[in-house]
Amino acid sequence: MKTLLIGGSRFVGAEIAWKLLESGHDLTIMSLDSPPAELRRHVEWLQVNRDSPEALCDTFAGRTFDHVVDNIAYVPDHLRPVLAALDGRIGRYLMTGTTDVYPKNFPRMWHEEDIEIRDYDLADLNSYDRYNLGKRSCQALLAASGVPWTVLRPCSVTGPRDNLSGSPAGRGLHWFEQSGRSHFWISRVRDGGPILLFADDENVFNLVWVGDVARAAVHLLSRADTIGEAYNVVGDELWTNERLVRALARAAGREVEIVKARSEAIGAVEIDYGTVHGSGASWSIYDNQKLKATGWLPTPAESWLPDLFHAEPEIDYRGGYHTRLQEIAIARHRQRHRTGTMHPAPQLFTRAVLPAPSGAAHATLTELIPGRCTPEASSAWRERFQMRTPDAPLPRCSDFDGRTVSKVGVGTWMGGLDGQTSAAYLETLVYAVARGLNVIDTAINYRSMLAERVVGQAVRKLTALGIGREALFVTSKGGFITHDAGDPRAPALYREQEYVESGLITAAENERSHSLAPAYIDDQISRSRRNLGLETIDMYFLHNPEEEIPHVGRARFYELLQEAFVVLERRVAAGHIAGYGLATWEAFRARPDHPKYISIAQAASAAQRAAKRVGNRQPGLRAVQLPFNVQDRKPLTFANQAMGKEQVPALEACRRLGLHVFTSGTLMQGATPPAWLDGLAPGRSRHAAALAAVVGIEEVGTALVGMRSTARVDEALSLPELTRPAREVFSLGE
Amino acid sequence: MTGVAVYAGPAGRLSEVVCAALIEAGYLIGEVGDACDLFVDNISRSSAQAHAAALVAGRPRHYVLISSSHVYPATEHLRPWTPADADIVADLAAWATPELLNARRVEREVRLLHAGRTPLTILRPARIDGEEGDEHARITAYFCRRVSADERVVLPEGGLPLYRFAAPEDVAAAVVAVALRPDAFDRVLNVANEAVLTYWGHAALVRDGLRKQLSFVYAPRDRWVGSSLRLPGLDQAWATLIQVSDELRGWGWSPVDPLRYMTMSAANLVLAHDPADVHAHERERALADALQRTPPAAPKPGAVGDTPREPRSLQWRLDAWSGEPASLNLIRTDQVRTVPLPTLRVRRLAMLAAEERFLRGEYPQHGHRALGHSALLEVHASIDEAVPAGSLALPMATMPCADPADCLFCRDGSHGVVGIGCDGYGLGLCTTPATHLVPVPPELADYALLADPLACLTNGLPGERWQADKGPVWIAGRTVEAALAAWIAHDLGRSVTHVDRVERSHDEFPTKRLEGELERLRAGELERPTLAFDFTGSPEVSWPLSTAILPGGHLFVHRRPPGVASGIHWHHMPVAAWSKEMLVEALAQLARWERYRDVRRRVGPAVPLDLFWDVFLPVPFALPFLEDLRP
Repeated sequence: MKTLLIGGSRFVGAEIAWKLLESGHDLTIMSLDSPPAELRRHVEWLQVNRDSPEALCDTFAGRTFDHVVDNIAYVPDHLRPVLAALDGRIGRYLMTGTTDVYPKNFPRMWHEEDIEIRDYDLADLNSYDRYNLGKRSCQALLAASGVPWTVLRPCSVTGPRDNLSGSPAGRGLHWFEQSGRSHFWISRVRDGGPILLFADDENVFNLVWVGDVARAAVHLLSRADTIGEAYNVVGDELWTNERLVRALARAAGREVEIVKARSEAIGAVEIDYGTVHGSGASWSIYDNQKLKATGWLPTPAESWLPDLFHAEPEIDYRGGYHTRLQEIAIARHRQRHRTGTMHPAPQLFTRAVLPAPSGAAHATLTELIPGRCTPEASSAWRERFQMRTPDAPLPRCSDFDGRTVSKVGVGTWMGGLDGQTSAAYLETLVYAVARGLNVIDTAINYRSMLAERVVGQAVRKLTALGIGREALFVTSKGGFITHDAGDPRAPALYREQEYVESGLITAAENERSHSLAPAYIDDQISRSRRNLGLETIDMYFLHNPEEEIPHVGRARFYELLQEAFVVLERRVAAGHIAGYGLATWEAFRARPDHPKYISIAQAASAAQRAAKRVGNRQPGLRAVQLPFNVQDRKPLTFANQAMGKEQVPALEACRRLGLHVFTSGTLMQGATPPAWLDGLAPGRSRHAAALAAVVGIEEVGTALVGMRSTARVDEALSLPELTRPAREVFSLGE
Repeated sequence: MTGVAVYAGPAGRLSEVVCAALIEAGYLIGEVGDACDLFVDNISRSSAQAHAAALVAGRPRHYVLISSSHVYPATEHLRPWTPADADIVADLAAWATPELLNARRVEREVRLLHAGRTPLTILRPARIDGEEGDEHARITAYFCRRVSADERVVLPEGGLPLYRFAAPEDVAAAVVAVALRPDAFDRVLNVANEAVLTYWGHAALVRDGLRKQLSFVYAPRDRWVGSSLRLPGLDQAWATLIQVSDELRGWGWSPVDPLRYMTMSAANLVLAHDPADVHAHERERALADALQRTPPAAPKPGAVGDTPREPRSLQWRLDAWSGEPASLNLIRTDQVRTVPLPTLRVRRLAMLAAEERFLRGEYPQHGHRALGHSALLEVHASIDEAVPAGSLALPMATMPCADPADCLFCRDGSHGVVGIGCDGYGLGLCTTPATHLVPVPPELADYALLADPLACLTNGLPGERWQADKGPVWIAGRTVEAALAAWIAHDLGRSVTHVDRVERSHDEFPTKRLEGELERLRAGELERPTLAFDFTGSPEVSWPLSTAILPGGHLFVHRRPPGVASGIHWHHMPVAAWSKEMLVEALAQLARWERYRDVRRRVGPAVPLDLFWDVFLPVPFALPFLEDLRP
């Protein structure tokens, strides 16, 4: 497909250019300024002034384009020369419009058809009206031109390399200016000072992530049924300046102090300060259902807010920051003159704010819930779920020794020790299981035992609500030495008294925070059962056992492993765990001569010997956990495991030994997924594509994803179909 | 005829509108208890009522339950609720209010009663305007009273919810849209009007409906709460922020125009007497009057808001960290026992461009600093005859001094600005070599702090740029430097224009709008400046200002502009005087100006130490300073 992009040198244009390239378009960019250097080598650049009909005719003589994407048409006079120069040689025209075509002074959401599209007289208009009516006139001209057309109407676009300044008097930045309005609040949140907001700010607005605009452009071009239509390109969130600031602070993990002052008081000081997305009373909110109905989905703000911080690692001094000291001075002055303290605003950014289960989370559940995940209950739950919500996306599942377990599991590693995090996990776990994800992974050291307790609470809540314990598959791990966040003792004292003085571990093991000592593992299983409130843990992993190898040597390590397995086999026999496994980080993807390498076959042999010693008919070693994602693909591609005379990759070794594979680090622990994923799941985020790729590998039993928000759950539930087989994906981007 | 429809629900506007819509759609309306094809249940508000409704409904072809948005949590959320958001099993959640639990219970009961028997559709409207117990109408009435009586509404500052409503017509249209439609069977659909309201927006629509004027008064939260005021409908507002089900639109449903509807309903509202609200309204009036009697004072430097703390010692330290503007802090330390001679007391301290740049992080610097390079010092103890005890002096801010070998700061040969490169004069007691001090005659003490910025201006321009030509000078920014630069230019017979992004009045230095001046320039009405200063630090100023300058002209800035017009020269202004001679000359210049200019007006208000942040509040064309008033 030959595609002409008009205006592809900055921000939205450059982002669209990348997306078009990734979708296989043969791209020509027409702009006066050069496209970014890294883009130049992939495109043809025409440095032509679009206002010059002669130059356009000369440039385009004899050329034909399947698509023209016009990012910089503001008035019909911008369009006419292009249409004339390419008369009859344009397959389709996609123009970037704007939601500024809708009024802002009414408290309502606007639909695409709510405005009149016709040719307007643009003479003697102010810049705002000229922009609004100019874009409408452009659409009218396109509609009359006979060329198949589509119009995108993005709202305020946010993202890296934002080249627009904000209110008041926003303007396009010059090529030498690197950033603009998207970083206005970032700099302020980053510097830690009080943030000055207008007390009478009633502005409600939408934002859209720049990548979503680019995805929308490519997505609409790929569909024939979008010809002759205009689409609002808008995120789902409704923002106010205050909510945006708090959400940004939350994404950055920072506290933010908001101070409100009346606009007249700020105005009287005569500083040149205005909040970047406007203030006062206005509504810039738009309906995005029409575009969503075509299959496009906006990226949840939870995903892109951190990316804004990553894009601007330093405070941005260039635009809008010059008044910062005066803002702080006004805020401090305002606080001093208050008669009382400000009431804290309610917590934001949670879909349903559960109370922090602080007290409960610190308390250990005393009565253990009997049962374990069973084949009948786990498959029945899936059927019930399907009956109850026939239209909801059915989560993919795999078979694990007859039990139906979801291909995506909920991880609980990350987060602080605060009640908010516990609340977010609790909400997310209930939400996820209610939607069919029945695997929950935790460990005793995650959030210093709080993670296990939150899982326990979630299981109780679900059980009380009719989702039986037997439908859930709960895993935990032991090996790392942790204190108990709910214990009043200092962490070091706790570990000393609980583990060292009681003889469970040595001082050296305490020092390195890891142990596989059989007595210690036995103790940890008991603690985990109490924390989780479960009679039986479905899968108990030895956590990063390879940590011991450098300290004890390889030969001793396998002996130690077997001793630990003996303990685990006894616990299997007692019904305290249903099975066990090895949760590793480097062990299964390292070279065989690496100091932390573990042979899966040797581990399996150790398990068989342990089972025999305890008298169990089958070894309880049933699973492994290892990091695997679109970037770290060694478990699929690196043949480091000996199977007889053959060397095979870890995933293949597990398949041959019948071990269920749980993947960790599935989404690269929050790192930005690589750009080459974009073309694999049109209309969907890179995260979704990355997850779909891992889940699509048949050797992968369950892909674990850390989830602290329901948006992540939604993403995991609606995995996209990839345009290429999953296995092929792992040969891309090398 | 499409069939027989029965509507079960309280008599009222919704009942009328739904029945009328059904008749218009070709239905015959039956009585409750009649056999029917379509049963519209707007009466089930409890499990018992749901059972009763199911009994009287018999076996219709389609059962439509009008539920409510109460099934969603009334907690703040960024995205409007969708039907799936209520699937989360939340009955035991602590945020589950009685309204939520009841609404869910009713839905569950109706689902179970009709499972496998009757096709069911559940509509979840936002608050239906005019329905019994409706909060939306209460809010409308609340604002109607205030707009009618006072044309004034008081709102608490910030943190207020967004909410939606549904007009009876919207619900009626939804009932007709789903009625007997097989693809609507067993579906749950949100129904709401297009409007997304805030309390401000709601009040504004009422204002339009009543054709009145309206002013808003914002009360600080503590005052609002302290007056026992409460907005109606606040508790459940967030629950109503729902996403309209897209299927409804596909089936031909469309909402009424929210603006017309709201203004009409406000105009037609018959206000009932509400004694509780009368009392609240009185308290609200009193609060508004109090707030308006004492409007929020514009922050003024040095306006004492609280009593300065009793000092424990003479020693204090204005501490800051580069790149962390909020780190500025006044620290009172223990009394120092020994300070090298000459011992200096810092009486006045100025915060100038160098300090601002330091705080903003524009100078690379790690570690805390005592801030301040320009100060008026009182010599506390000295053995040097040039600066005897009791005399006043200005310190040098840059290094090295005349005799680096003996200088406390300069002996390592490093260059820098005191207060930026190393600790400055933001200290109660300090010391510096006597050779770094410029004696200040007592009669110049009031405005001696102007010497440093003046020295930067008179000596900072290369090639005697001040006198290179007689072209106009444009100055942007309203700092003390702008005033001093204007005086220098006036003395040289050059015309001066003060410009900024907006026009501002001032009796001595009126400021014109930069954009307007540029237009006049383009129209040929003005002569292009050959020299310009930007003291704002804003790229919104430096760029257009640079386009005004005659090619070959010069632009002086404090912050590197991200770009300038081609053909002009731009320069950094120095931010500190770098020799004693410059300070001496500047003091002499100030003394000369004193004879025919009001130099003292260029010195801003004295800011007590404890209010140290106020020193950054802008004072047009003057220099506020920190003052240690203690004896």
